[in-house]
Amino acid sequence: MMSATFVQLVIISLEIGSVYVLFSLGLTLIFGIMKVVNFAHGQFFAVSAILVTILVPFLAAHGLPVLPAYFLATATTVAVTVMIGWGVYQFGLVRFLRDMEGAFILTLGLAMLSDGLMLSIFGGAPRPEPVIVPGTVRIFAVAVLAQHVVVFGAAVCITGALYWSMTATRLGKALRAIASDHEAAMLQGIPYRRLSRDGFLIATALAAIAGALMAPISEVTPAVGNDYLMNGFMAVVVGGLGSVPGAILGAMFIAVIEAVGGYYVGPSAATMAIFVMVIVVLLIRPRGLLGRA
Amino acid sequence: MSRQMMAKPLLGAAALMVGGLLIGGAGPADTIRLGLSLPLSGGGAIWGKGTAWMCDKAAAQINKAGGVNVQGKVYKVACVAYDNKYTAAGGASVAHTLLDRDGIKYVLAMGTAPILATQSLTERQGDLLFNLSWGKATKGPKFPLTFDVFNSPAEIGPAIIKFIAKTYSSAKTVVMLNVDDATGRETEAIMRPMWKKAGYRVLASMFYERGTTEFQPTALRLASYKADIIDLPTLPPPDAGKVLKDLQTLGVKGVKILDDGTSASAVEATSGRSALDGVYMGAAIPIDGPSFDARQRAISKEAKAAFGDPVNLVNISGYDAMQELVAGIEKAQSLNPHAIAKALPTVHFKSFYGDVGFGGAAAYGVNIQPLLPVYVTQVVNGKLVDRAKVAVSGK
Amino acid sequence: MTGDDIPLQVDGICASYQGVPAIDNVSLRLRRGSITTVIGANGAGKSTVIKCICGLVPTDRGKVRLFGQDVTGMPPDELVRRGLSVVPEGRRLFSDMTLRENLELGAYTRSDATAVARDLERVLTLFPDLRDRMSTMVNRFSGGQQQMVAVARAMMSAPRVMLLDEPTIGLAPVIVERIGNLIGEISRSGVTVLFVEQNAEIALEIADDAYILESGKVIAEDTAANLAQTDEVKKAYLGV
Repeated sequence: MMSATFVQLVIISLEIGSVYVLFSLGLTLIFGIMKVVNFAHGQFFAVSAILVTILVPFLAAHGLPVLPAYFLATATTVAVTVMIGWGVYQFGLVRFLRDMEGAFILTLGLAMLSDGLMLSIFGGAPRPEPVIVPGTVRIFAVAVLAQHVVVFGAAVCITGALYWSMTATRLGKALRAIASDHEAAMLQGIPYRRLSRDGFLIATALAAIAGALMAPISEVTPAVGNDYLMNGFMAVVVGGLGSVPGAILGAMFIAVIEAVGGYYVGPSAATMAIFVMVIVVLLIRPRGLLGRA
Repeated sequence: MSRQMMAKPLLGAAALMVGGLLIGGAGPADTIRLGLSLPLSGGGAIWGKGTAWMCDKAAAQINKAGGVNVQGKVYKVACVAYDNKYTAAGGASVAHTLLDRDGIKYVLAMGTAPILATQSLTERQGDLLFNLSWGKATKGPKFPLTFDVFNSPAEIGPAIIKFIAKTYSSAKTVVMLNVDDATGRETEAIMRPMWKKAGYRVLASMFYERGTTEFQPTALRLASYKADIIDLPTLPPPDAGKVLKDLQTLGVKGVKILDDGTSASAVEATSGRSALDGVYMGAAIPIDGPSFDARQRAISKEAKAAFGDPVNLVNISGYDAMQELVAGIEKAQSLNPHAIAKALPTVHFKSFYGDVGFGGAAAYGVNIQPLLPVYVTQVVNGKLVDRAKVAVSGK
Repeated sequence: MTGDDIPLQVDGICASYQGVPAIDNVSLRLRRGSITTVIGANGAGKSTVIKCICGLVPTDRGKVRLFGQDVTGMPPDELVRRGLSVVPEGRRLFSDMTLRENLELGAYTRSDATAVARDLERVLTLFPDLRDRMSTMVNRFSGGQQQMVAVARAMMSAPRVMLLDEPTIGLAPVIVERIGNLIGEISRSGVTVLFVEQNAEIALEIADDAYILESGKVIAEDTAANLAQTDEVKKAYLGV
């Protein structure tokens, strides 16, 4: 019995952790490159989730089977979201590179604006979620929603792909160089501004993919992005702002506290425990678990 | 504590500015204005918008029928809504705007936290407050100018428990989950003793923070008690849906109750259809059932088209508050809030549910509660089915 | 004279930090293939001159010409594409990346893989002790080695003009010696070199031309050999 609970908690931690990882990757990428926190990151997630809930039934009504409909909807949604992200960068953020306060005000303002816009366009009621991969699967005799398995698999793949491209591609190395020292990077001929934009658009795409993946299991409302932003942000801070492995570690750290704490002492206390543990970590390692001094 | 604390004051201020621009300040002198302090953005926006819409609906009907006659002078009525963001800070700023800037003397406020902020002003300045909150703490003899507008757990709880006791005679144990805020804490404090009093063992009562996105650990903990009844009184629909879905994944049987669940479709959005099957709701309006007529259904249809939700327990309060106010004014033949407050406990008004009087002394010590019926409904295949209509008598 | 004879020309540039003037009316001319040094005390504005040339600090007035073209205010990455390379003050390596990655990034603007591989081989011939440590994080290297890496990285862009900002600061004498030789080597390969230095002795020994900067102003310019002979320089900078 004890071990069944243990298995269950491990699985739940992985489920929750993979969601936070998906959300955190973009945040940490943006911080690494631009040295700003994007408080509108959750809005990209929300826009994407909402669009998927609209497009999937629409495409299904036009005769597409559910999986192709979902893939097409996700591709469209990511494209639309990245276009919005381009606008945000080109007409806003480009003026606030490495300006923590300026970017804070800008992105928070944008988050509010988009909150209000989405509310008036889509309404505040939770949107019916498309069923993409229905039912449950059994893992070590524990029932898990199939969509959670999909999210977990996607999180592993996306994280792996991101990790690979950051270490093995020219763009990835240039982005890491910018994160390490943007002036030195420019002195090697790396176009800082253009690559900042590219990095921001990659981060936006990650948020959009996360939104599309979570649409079938999360609540889909204009406000949902903000809820994820808080835990995603804490994951990034605990892991070390700007660090991709840090974001993964931070996300798992928070997920384990939420799962184990939530089960043994209750959800409200678990939320408090997350805050307390984040503070403890930051007292011991002010730059996060994998942050650089 | 709210997880969006940082965003909220700014958001509130921005929304207020926008709201102020749109709605404007003082209205014409021969219009009686009911101020509305509602969440018009964020997660509670659907309730706030519905309530405002229903208030406008009542106002339109009243105006069409000739307005309000006070000592030979005819007044029009109107609703003035601002966004309270569901927070104390938002509530305080809306209260100041409505009472001090706009000079409005009658307010309907939604949410325990905003009400606490509003009530300290209305009671002191002599304004009438229609109280749209689940709790009891802001209702009673200490607040002579505060009136209830809808069925809260004090009314819904006994009706549901009575129904459950009759339907599931072998059920003996309960676990509860509530939102960790003023609403959830207050409701829990009302509901838990009710279960105990009815002979049930409450094995555990838990709280979770608003803004929680993952409910699997909570569901696992709820399941571990193997209780006969899982009571989820104050969960907002998306959260309720997620909990129900996770409970289903864990294979949890047991009677599940959403005491303030107002709509099957809102919960189904996150739960999916099968996880919601068989769940009981205490605050849903079975508008298609025998208790309602074509005229009421027409309003519901119109409401759904206008803001996406059919009529429900919460948004009907917008309609009823306006009707309560008008009935009070006509009976008192005065616009003075004290005079209206004195008249209200004895009036009958045209509630959305039909002709209704006041009671509630048993629960609150004073007759401030409109005696509305409680509908116990069950979700069957995504549709609400009437299970019981319980008349509340509280005189 | 044409841009070919003077690859880098600085005409009367002024720059300030938050209203406080840092350099005032500084003019430099680098002859093709020569080594030029700017010497001066700490705080004289030497680094500001480098940063103004490479676009990291905006100039208030004056012009920077690279191969005859006005490049004033151009971002550093554009200047690298035009043949300029910089070894910045404090080395500014990508500390959590490997030596190989640092050198690869040095060649970021180049697309000719064969040529890059050839230059990498050439650089490793110059720095034989780096060869076995290509996969080591550069923050593991000693200060002297890091300076070598910084120079090697700057060479990887195949520059025609190289700027070095205080290349010997904080290094042991034997390493200073090596850096000196290295600058000579780079120059002989056809690169025009400008380096700013606090260590006047080594600077005047290596350089062909020299400028003395004091409180942001050029107070003397001549061949390095001539300047080293003046009494003022001997007293103030060479400690003789």
